[in-house]
Amino acid sequence: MTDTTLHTDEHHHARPKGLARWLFTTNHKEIGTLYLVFSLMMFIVGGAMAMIIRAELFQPGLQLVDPEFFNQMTTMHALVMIFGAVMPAFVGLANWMVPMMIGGPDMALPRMNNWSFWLLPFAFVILLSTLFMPSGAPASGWTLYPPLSLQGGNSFAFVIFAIHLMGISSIMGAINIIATILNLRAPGMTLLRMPLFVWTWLITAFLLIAVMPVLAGAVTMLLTDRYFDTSFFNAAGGGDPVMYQHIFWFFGHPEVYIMILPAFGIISEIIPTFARKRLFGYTSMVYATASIAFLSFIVWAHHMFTVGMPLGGELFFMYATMVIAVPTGIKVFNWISTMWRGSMTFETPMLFAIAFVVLFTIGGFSGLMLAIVPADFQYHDTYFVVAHFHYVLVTGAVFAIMAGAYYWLPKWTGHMYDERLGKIHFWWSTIAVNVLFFPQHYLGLAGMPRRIPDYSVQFADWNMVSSIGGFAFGLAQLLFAWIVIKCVRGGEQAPARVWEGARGLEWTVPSPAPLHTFDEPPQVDDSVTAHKDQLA
Amino acid sequence: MRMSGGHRPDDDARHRRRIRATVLLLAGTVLLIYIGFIARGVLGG
Repeated sequence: MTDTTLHTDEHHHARPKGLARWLFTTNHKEIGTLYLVFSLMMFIVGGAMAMIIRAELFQPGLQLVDPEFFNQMTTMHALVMIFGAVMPAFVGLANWMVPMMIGGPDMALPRMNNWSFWLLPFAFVILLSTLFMPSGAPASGWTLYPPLSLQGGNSFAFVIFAIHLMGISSIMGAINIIATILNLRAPGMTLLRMPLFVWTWLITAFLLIAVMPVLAGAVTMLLTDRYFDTSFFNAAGGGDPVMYQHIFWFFGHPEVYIMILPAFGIISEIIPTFARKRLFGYTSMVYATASIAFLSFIVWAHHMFTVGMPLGGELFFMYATMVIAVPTGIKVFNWISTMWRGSMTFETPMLFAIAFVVLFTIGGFSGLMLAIVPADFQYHDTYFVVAHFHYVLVTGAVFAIMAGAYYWLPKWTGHMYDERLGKIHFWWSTIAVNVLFFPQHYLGLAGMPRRIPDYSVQFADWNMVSSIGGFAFGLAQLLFAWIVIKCVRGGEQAPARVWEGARGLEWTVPSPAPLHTFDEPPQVDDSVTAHKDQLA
Repeated sequence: MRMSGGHRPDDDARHRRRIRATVLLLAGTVLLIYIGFIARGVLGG
């Protein structure tokens, strides 16, 4: 690299201050911050709903809320966490880091970037407002299966509108990320020199382009079935409710990978840094990511083995699902091989990254158990499924987001976070999350169904344990919010290259990163890429 | 300056055309998929 010239924003027009600054910003770093703050707020809102769920399930019997409201909580918790917390967090991280990682000056479409973000608060105000409507919030589960989802009140129209807005926001974000990565790379930043986080986001953006319109189509058909007398999913009118499930899961399964591929990218950045070694098997990581993305399109019906489909179909979807373990295994072994004989240190981002590898793998293995058709007939719609996807999404996606936040916070704020508090947050979260979700495997295997406010007394003990873990995990995240606030307000000055083993263009700019970076493109060669062995 | 992935924004018309083409291609794909799946619904299950 020969030129990392940084330009201050002196030559730019005076920027608006206060609220106008955030409303009209087209800067990728500021929009990244908006996404991350929004995500943290939604994480707290969705977390509060989870607390209500776990409080109700603390004991058998109906204690705190009526069953209809309980169902609204399970539905809204999922919608808020998926579309409000996890996806915006990854988009925020992409906004902040992708242009800096590829040596670009900003996102390719800055004004559309602003619009992508500002659709989200409106979408979630609309979604959350349904809680205060006479018919209440949606209560049919986040999958919105008909005919149940069509039997609620008129808040349904608001839900559909909110989902459309979220989809438009995601699609515009994905178009922006693809246009940026394909068009704004610095000279020398060839595709196979891109950091893994950029690669995983490029593939994720293509997944978003492919499946968000599928969700939009599905919910548009629900809307016309509800209000315009069509019968897409109404058997009485010649429609087919099972078709909705096929269309929904054709979106829904790639959606799972949309929430985990960027996490793989973050972990692939962090582990080499703290192992002080090149990433083992960079090219195989790229191909494994692409393979997972491809396979995600041909496994959707494993979510609906029990609807009654031909044996050939069940076998196909079972084996296709199991094949995903191959590229995923490649990734896990590559992370372990990267750590092997590395000069490892265990700062908070690395602790979260290691926990990710271990705990996400547990979620992967329970996924394999669910892929087995005859076993799935036992596990389907039980707490085993709930345990499985929370290991994937909480100890997978959310832990990776937290690892990324600790990793890049000094670059964003210019201050080191409180390492002692970070470690407390890690251990507290890791212990609590296992107390919360591991017993749910037992409950599911013993036959406890999901989405119920009351249960048989034989499930009482593990539900109580799970709820205690839930409250502890929720409390730990308030500590996380405090650590972030504390870091933004001050702390030890962070150097440009915050971590000794860090490689990549983002570490060549000062901390905090100036508003405008790489107005003049840097020249990139192997010396700045994380996956070439520069430390040997 | 020639970029590995094209040109810098505002450098020249070719670069702008390239970004525009990327956006149009992706937006068109989105629209086709949206309409295609609703058409699948119209055709019936």
